[in-house]
Amino acid sequence: MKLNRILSTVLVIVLLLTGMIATFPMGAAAAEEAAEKPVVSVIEDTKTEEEKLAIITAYQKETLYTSAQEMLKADLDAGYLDSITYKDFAIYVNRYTGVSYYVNGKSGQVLTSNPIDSGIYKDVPKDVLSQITITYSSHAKPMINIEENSFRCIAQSSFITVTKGEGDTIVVKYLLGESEAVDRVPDAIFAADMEAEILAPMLEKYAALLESHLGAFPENTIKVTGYKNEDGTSYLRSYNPYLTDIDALKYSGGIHGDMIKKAVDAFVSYAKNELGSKSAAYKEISTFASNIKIIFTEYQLYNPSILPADTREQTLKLWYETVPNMEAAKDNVFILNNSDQEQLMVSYRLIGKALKANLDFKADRAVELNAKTGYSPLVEDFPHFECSLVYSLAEDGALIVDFPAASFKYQKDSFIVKSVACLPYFGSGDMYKDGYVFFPDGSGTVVEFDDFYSETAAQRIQITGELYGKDYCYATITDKHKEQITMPVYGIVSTVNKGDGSDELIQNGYFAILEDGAALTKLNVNSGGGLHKYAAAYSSFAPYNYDEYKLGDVISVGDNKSYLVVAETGYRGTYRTRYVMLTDPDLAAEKSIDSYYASSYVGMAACYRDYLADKGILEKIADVKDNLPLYIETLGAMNVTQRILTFPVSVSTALTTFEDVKTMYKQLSAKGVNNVNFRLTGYSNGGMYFTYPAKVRWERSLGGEKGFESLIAYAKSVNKSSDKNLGIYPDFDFQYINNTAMFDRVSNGKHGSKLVDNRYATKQVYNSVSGLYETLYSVLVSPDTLDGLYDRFIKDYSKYDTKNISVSTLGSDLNSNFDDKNTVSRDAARKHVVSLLNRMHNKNGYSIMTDIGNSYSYEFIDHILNATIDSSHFVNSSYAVPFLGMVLHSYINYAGTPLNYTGSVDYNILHSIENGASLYYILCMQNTNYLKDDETLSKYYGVDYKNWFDDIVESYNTLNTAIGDLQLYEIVDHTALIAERIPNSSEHASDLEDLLEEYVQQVDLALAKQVAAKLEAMRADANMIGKGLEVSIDKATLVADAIDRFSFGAESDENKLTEADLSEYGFFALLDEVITKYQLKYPAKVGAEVLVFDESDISYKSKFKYTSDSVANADDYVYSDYTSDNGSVIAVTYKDTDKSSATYGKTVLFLINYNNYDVNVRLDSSILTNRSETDPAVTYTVGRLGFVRVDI
Amino acid sequence: MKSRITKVFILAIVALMLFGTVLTSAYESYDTYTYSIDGKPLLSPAAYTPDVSVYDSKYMGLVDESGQGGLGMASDIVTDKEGNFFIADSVGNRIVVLDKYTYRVKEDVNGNQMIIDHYYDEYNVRQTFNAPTGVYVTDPNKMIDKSENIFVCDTQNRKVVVFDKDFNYERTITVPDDPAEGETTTSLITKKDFAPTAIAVDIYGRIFVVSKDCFSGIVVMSGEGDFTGFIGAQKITADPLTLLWEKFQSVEDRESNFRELPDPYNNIAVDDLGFVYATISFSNVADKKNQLEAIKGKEAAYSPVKKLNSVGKEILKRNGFFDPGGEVDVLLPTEVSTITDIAIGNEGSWSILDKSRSRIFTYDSNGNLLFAFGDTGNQIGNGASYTAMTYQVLYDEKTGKDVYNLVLLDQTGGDFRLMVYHPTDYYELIMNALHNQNEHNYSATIQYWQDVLTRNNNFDLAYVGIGKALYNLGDYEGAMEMLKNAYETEVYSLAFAAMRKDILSRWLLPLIIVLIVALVFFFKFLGWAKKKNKAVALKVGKKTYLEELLYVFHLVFHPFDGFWDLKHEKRGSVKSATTILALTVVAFFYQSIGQGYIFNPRGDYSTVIMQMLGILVPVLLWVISNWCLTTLFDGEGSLKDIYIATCYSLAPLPLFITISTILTNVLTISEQGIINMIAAIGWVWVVILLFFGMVVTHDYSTGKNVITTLGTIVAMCVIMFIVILFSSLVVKMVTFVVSIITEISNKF
Repeated sequence: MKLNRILSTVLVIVLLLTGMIATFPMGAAAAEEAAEKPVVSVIEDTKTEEEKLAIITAYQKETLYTSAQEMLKADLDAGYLDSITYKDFAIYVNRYTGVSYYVNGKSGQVLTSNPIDSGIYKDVPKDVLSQITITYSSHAKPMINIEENSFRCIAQSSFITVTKGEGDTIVVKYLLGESEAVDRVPDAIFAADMEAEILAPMLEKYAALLESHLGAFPENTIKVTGYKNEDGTSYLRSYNPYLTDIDALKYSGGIHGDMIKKAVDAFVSYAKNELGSKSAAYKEISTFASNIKIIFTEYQLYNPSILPADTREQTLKLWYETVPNMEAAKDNVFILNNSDQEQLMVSYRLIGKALKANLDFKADRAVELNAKTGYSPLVEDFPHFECSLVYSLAEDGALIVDFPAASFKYQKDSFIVKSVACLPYFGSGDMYKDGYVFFPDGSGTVVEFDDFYSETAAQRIQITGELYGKDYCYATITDKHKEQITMPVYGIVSTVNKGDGSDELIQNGYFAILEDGAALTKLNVNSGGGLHKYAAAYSSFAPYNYDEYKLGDVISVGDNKSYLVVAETGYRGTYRTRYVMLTDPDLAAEKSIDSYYASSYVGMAACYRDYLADKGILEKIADVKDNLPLYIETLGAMNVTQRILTFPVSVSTALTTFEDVKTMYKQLSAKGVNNVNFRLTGYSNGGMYFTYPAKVRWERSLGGEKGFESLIAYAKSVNKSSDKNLGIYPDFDFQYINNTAMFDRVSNGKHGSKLVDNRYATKQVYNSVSGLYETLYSVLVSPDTLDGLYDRFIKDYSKYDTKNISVSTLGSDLNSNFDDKNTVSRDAARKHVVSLLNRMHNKNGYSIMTDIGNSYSYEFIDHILNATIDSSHFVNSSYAVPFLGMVLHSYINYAGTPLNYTGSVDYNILHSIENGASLYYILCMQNTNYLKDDETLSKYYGVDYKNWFDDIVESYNTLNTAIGDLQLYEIVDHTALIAERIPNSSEHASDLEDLLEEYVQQVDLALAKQVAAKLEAMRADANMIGKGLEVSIDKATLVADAIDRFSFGAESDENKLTEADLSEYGFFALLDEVITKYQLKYPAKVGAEVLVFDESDISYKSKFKYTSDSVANADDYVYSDYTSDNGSVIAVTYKDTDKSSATYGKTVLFLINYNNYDVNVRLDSSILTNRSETDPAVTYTVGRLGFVRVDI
Repeated sequence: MKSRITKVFILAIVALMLFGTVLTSAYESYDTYTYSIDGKPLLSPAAYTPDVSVYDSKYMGLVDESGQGGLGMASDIVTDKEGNFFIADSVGNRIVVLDKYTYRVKEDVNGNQMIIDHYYDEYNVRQTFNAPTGVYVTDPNKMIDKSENIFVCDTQNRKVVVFDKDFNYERTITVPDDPAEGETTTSLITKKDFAPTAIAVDIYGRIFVVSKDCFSGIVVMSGEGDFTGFIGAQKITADPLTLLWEKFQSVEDRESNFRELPDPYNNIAVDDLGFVYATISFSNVADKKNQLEAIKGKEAAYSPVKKLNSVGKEILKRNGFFDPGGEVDVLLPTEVSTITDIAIGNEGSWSILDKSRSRIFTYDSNGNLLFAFGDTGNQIGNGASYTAMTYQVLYDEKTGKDVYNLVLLDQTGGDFRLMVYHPTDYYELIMNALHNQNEHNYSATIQYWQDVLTRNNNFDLAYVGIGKALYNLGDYEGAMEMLKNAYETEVYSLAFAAMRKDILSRWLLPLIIVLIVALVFFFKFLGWAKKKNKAVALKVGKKTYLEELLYVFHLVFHPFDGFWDLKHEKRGSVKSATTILALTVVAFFYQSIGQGYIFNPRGDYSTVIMQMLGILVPVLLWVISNWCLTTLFDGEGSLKDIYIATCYSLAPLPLFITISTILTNVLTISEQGIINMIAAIGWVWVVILLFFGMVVTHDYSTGKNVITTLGTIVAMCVIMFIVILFSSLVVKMVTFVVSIITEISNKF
C-alpha cells in the first residue's frame, strides 16, 4: 500500500513534468527526448466520493477558460490527469470528469473532448460535457426515445474508472444509466391505496412526531387562509392536527393536496415558533414535512370530478387509455409526472428517499400497485449501460479512440439502444468565431458556423447521413434526392486562442477518419440552436440494428400498428476513430514545422489522400493515355411486344448491338475521341431485365457470344496502338436478383436477404409522385453467398479474353441481411464485398468499373461512374467542395452523372473541371422509342446516340483540352474568389450616363464653390473692388479627365473611351450647359480677374462604386456595385506532385465562373504561385459559365 | 496566409451584396417528370434548377438589429415589367418591393427602402393597409392605355387601392356599403361580400377580383372600378342521398337545408388576350374526389383550374392525357393537389402551384403537361410551404431573349424565403418549339422538337408536335410514325385518310375488282349452301357435321322454320353448336388483337383465355338460367336444345365482328359510325335470333317468352351474386387466417 502511494506520487511528478514539456515545448530538445515507445501513466485514485463529486460539480459550473492550454494546465496542476505520451504527442484524460486532451507538443495545439468555456452557460446541456451519449427506448414504449449522457451519470455519482489497457492504451470505463441505488416507487397508484399505504401511515407518523415534540395539540388554533368556496367566496379553515379527515382527498382533487401541504407547513411554522428554528426537533419535523410535500409535488392527481365540462369526455378518454383500470375502479389516480425521463428519475429518487426514510415500503409493492392500475410505466426496468473508451496514440501521432462493442453491456431484453455517440463534442467549434464543419456529403460539403448558428432556433440544428448510402435491408427507407456519403471522414476547423497567453487567434482543427465499424455508423453535424454555441461533428451507431415494422404493410385488415424489431446479433468488433490534428499554416511557419496538414478542407483532403496512399489503397493510375477517358454506357436488349400477323409476340430487341459499339468507337475516334470506355448494360442473361449472373449467356439479338468475342478482339486490336484505348466493361449486378430464371440455381430462398420481420428484402426506389420509396421486386442477395455465386459466374466469364468487368452495385450498395438464421451485419457485408472485389482484382486480375465507389472499394477499382461530384445542398450547409476530387484525382478515374441527363451541359463541364472528373453518357444506337413504353426503362429518357454525337465530341474536346494533360496531377487547392461582374452594355451605358451626369454635377458644384470663394476673396481685397470676374474653363482637360476616370483602368488605348462615346452618353451637352452658365455670368472681359478652372480642381468620391482593384482573395476586399462574392467563382489548382515525373512541380490554375455573366478576377502572387510578391496583380476575364486555364 | 477560404466566405456572408445572383446550379433536389398515357410518371430532364442561395427576410434587408421586421405572412408576389418583385405582407400590413437582381429591398430615387405601409388618400388622410393579401402591377407595354399601376388588395379594409408606378395614390376601388338593418339594396355586391384577396387586370383595364367572402364567382369591375358582374360561379355540391331526400321535402324545408357553400377561388391570373385563369382548392372530401375524377376524366366542373372568357365561359383546352389540374397518380382521392397559385409564362404556357407537395406543374396553351417538378425536404430547391408564385422576366442581352425565372415564396420556420428557379437548356428548347409551333414555322418546330426528343424521348408532346408539323408539311407517313409514339389518333386519322386517298387513287380499279369477286363468291357460296340445306331437309337419318354447320345459313334467314327444324329434325348437334361458339370466341379474340391503330392506339389486347371467359360465361349462364326457369314454366326445350339454339343464334356475330375488325384497319375516326353500325347489326340479329329461338324451342307465346327472358336475366344476376358472395367469403377467410399467422409470427 505504502509502496503504491510512493510510486503514484513519483508518477504524478513525472507526469506533471512531461505534461509541462509536452504542452509548452522548449524547442527541439523535447522532441528528441521523446520516447520510442508510448509511455502510459495511470495514477491510482485516492479521492473520496465527496471529493470526486466536488471536482465534477466544479467542472460543470466553473469551466471557463480562454484556451485549451489553460484548461489543460489547470487540470495538470490539480493532478487529475492520466496520460499517454509518444514522440511529440500526448493524450491526457481527466480521471474524474472523463475530459480528454489531445496535445501536439511541437505546435502547442490542444484539442479537447469537451468545450473549454461551457461555464458561461448557467444550464449547459449535459451532453456538451459528456464523452458518451446514448439514445434508447424501452421495449414497452419503443417510440419514446430517451437520451442519456455520461456527464449526468458521472455527476449522479456513478464515477468513471481509468485504467491502463493492453498495448499502451488508457481505458476509461463508464457506467451509464441509473445506479442500483434507485428504488422503485409506484408510477401510478389509486387514491385509496395512496391513502391507505402511504399517506395515512405517513401522516399518522407525522402526527405522532408532532405530538411527541409539541405535546397535546390545541384544537382549531392553526388557521390556513386562501381557500375558495365554489361560489368564489374565501373561507378560513382550521385543522385538526391529527388530520383524520383525509377521506376528502379522494374527492377534492388537487386542492386538498394543497391543503395538506399548507397544513403541514403550518405545523412546521408552529413548531418553529414553539421549538426554535435551531432545535433538532424542529429540524426533524420540517424534514418530515418536506417528505410529505414531495408526494404532492411529484405526483399528479387524475380526478375526473374537477374536469371542466367541455373537455371532460376527451380528457377522460385519454386518462382511461393511460390507466386502463381507472374506469372500473372508479377511483382517482396519482401518476408520476412522466413527460421527461430525466425528471422522472429525479422523482423516483426523491420519493424513494421519502418513503425509505419513513415507511417500510418495498419495491415489489410498487410494481404490484402499478399493475393494479394497469398503467405501464415509462421505464419498466432501470437501465444500466456499461461501456468504455480506449485511447491510444498511433505510430504517426494520431489519436485513436476505440469503442469496443463487446464491452458495451446493457439489459438487451428491456431496452433498445438506438444510437451511441462517442466524444460528440471532440474539437467542437465555437460558433461565435469563424470556422466550419466539413461533412462528406457527396463530393463534400462545408457548413460554415455563420450559416449554421441560429440563436433563435429552439431546436438543435442537425445534418445527418448514413455512411455508404442506404441499406435496403431496412423496410423503412427515408432519404431522397441525396448524394451518398462514400468516405468515412469528417472534420472541424475552428478559431481558438493561441494559448500562449497572448490574444492571438489561430485556426485549430481536426480531421477524423472512421477506421473500424464505419459501415454501421451515421455521421452527424450538430449545433445547439439556441441552447449553446458549439458546433459538433461525430459518428453514431446502433449496437443492434432495429427496424420499424408496420403491420399495415403485410396485412390488409386492421390498423397500421408499428413494432420495433431488433436484430438478435450485433457487431462485435470495435468502433475506431482516428483523429488527426490540423495546424494553422501561420503557426506551423512560426514553429518551423514543415510536415503538417493545414487547417482547412484542403488540408483534410491531403491528409486523407496520404492516409489512403500510405495504406497502399491508392496507387497512381498506371496506364495513362494522352487524352482523357470518355465513359459511355450502352444499353443492350429489351423485350418488346411486337405484332406478327396481328398476333402479339414478345421479341428481344436490340438497343445497341456489339457491332454498334464498334461503330460508335470508330465514329468517335475518327473525331479524335480515342480513349473510350464502354460499359455494356443489359447484354446478357435476358437483356435489360437480366437474371442473376450465375452464368453468362449473351443476348442473341445483340450478336451473341460471337458478337462479344469479336468486340473484345476488336478492342484488343485498337489497344495495340499506344495512344488509343477502347475499354469494354460488361456490367453484372451481383447484389440483386432482379429477375429469376429457371435452372440457374439462384433462388430467393437460398440467396435472398430478409428484413428483420422475415420478409424478403428488396431494392426500393423513390417515387417522386407518391413521395414514398417503392419496391422494385429486386431481392437483395445475402452478402455471404456472393462468393459462391461468383464461383459459378467466373467459370463462364473467365473463358473470354478480357480483363475488364463492370460491377455497378458492388461499389455503391451495401446491404445487411437480417435473416434470423443467417444474420450478416453491414460490417460483415462490407467484408464480403471487399473479399469479392479483392478476388476479382487481385486473383483474377480484372480491371473493375463500378458505380459511386464507397471508400472500401478504392483499393480494387479503376473506374467510378456516377461518382458523387456534387453535394446534396442542404439548406443548413453552406457550399459544396470537391473533396472527393482532391483525394482521388490521379489515383482512380471517375465520372459524375451522365451528361445527357443534366439540365445544363455547360455547368457540368465546369463542375467536371472543378472536380477533375471525366464525362459520362448513357446511349443507345437504335429502337430508343421502345424505352418509353416500359415503366422501369423509361428512366432512360434521352439516350439516342445519333442525336448526341456532335454534342459528345464538342463537350469532350472542351474538357479534354482543359484537363486532359493533367490526369496524373493532384488537385492541391480549391478556393472561392470574389469577382467583378462585367455589366452588360445597356447597364454599362446607363451607369456610365449616371456617372457622367454625376461628374458634371461635381464640376458644377466645384465651380460654384470656387467662384464663391473667389468672389469672397475679391470682396475682401480692396484692390479687387470693381473688377469683374472671368471664369475660364479648360474644357479639354475636363474631357480628358472624364475619359481617364471612366475608362476604368483600360490599359490599351483602343479600350479607352473616346470623345464620341462621351457625346453619345450626352456628356458634352451637359458639360456645355454648365460651362455656358458660368461663362454667361462671368464672361471674358478685359481686365477682369480670371479664374482658371481645370480637371485638377475636381476631386470627389463617386457615390457609384463602379470598380474595385482588390485582389480576388483579399481579406479586405473593397466592394464595387458589381462585385460578385456568392462563391460562384472558383479557383482550382492542379499540381504534379510526382517526384519522378518530368513535369514535377508544375501547377495549373483554373478560374471557373458559374455565373450567367462574365466576370473579371484579379489575382496576385498569393494565388499565382511561383511569382514574386512584387509582381503586379493580373486581371483575368472569365466568360459566363466558362473557365480560364492559367499554367503557372 | 491565414485560412483564406474561411475569411473569404465569412466576408461573402457579411458584406452587402449588390449584384450578381443569376446563378445556375445543376443539382436538383427533386425529380422532373411528365405523365404517360397510363397516368404513370415519366422522368424528364430538369426544366428548372434551383438557385443555390437562400434569400430570407434577413437577406432582403428587412430584419433590423433586434431581429424584428421580417415578413409576417407573404401572401402574394408579382413582378413589374422590369422584373422587380412586389410582395404583399398581410401580417406586416405592407407591400415590399425587391430588386430584380439582388433580391434585396429596393430603394427609391431618394434612397429610401420601398416598404409601403401607408399612403395619403385624395383627402390627404393617412391610410394604412389592413391585411393586404394580393397585389398586381400592370405592364405598360401590354396595356392598351400604356398605364402602369399598382393594385393592392386591402383585404380587411374591403377595398382595392390603386397607385401609380411610384406608389403615389390614385384611387380606391370599393363596393356599396352594406344596407342598414331593415333596408334593402339593389346592388348585387356589398361590403360584406367584398374581401379582395387576389386581383388581376387585363390589357383593357378591366379588373378581376377574387373575394374570399364571395361565393358567386369572380368579381368583375370596369377600369373605373364599377362593379359589372360575376363570372365563373362554382357548382354547389351535395351528395346524391341529400338530393334524393330533397325531392320529398317541401319548398320551405328545402330552403332551410344546410348547404355547404362552394369554396371561393384562391388565385387568379390574366393572360395577354384578357382571358382569366382562376384556381381553387377544395376543402371538403366530396369535392376532392370530384377533383380527382375531373382530372382523370378531363372535365371542367371540378377542375382546380379554370380559364374564363369575358362572359365567364370556361374555355380551358384540355388536350393532354389528363386535365391540367395537378397530380394524377395519387393514392387516395383526398391527396389531390392543393392548387393555390397560378402564373402565366411564355408561349402560352402557364404554371400552377401545388402547395401540399411543394410542386409546380407547367402546361402549354392546349393543356398538355410540359413538366412537373419540386418536392419537400431539407435541401435547397425543396419547399416547406409555398405561399405564392410568379414568373420573373429578365431580358438577356447576350441571347436577345427573355429569361423566365420562376420565383416562389416559401414559408419556413417562421420566416419567408425567396426560392428562385432558373430555366435550363431543356426548358428553352421546349419554349422554342412552342414558339415556332405558335408561329406556324413547321420546319423550325420539327427541329426544336427533335432537340427536345434528344434530351427526353419520353416527351409525348414532342412526338405530337413533330407529327402535326409533318402532317402540315404533307409528310403523312412520317407524321403517322411520330404520332404513333404518343398514342395520338386525331391527327393520325387525318394523315391516314390522306394517305389512304393516295393509295386508293392508285389502286381503285383492282380494289373494286377484288371486292366484286369477293361478293360474287360469297353469294355463290350462300346459294350453294341453300341448295345443300334443301337437300338435307329431305334426308332421313343422321346429318353429317358439315351439313349441321351449313344449316346455319338457313337458320339465320328463316328463324321460325329454322329453329323448329333444328330441334325437331335434329338439324344441328352439340358438336356443331360448340363449333359456332368457338368461332365466336375466335372472332372476338381477333377483334381484340386485330384492331387498327386508330381504334386501339395503345395496342391493348387480351388472351384467348380471357375471350373464352368473356363469351362462355354469359352464354352458359344464359343457358343454365333459361333452362332452370323454363322447366318451371312448361318450357319444352331440354338443356341440350337450349344450348344448341343459343349457339346457333350467335352465328351472325363471327362474320360481323370480323368484318368490323378488318374495317378498323382501313377506316378513320370520322368513319367510326360505319364500324359501329356493322357491329350493331350483328348484335341485333343475334338478339332477334335468340328470342325467336327460345320461342320456338320452348313452344312459348311471344308474351310468355318476354317474361321468361326477363326472368332468365334476373336468374343470371342471382347466380352471379351468389358466386361472387361465396368467392369473396372464401377470400376473406383466407386473408383472415393468413393475417393471424403473420401477426403471431411477428409478435413472438
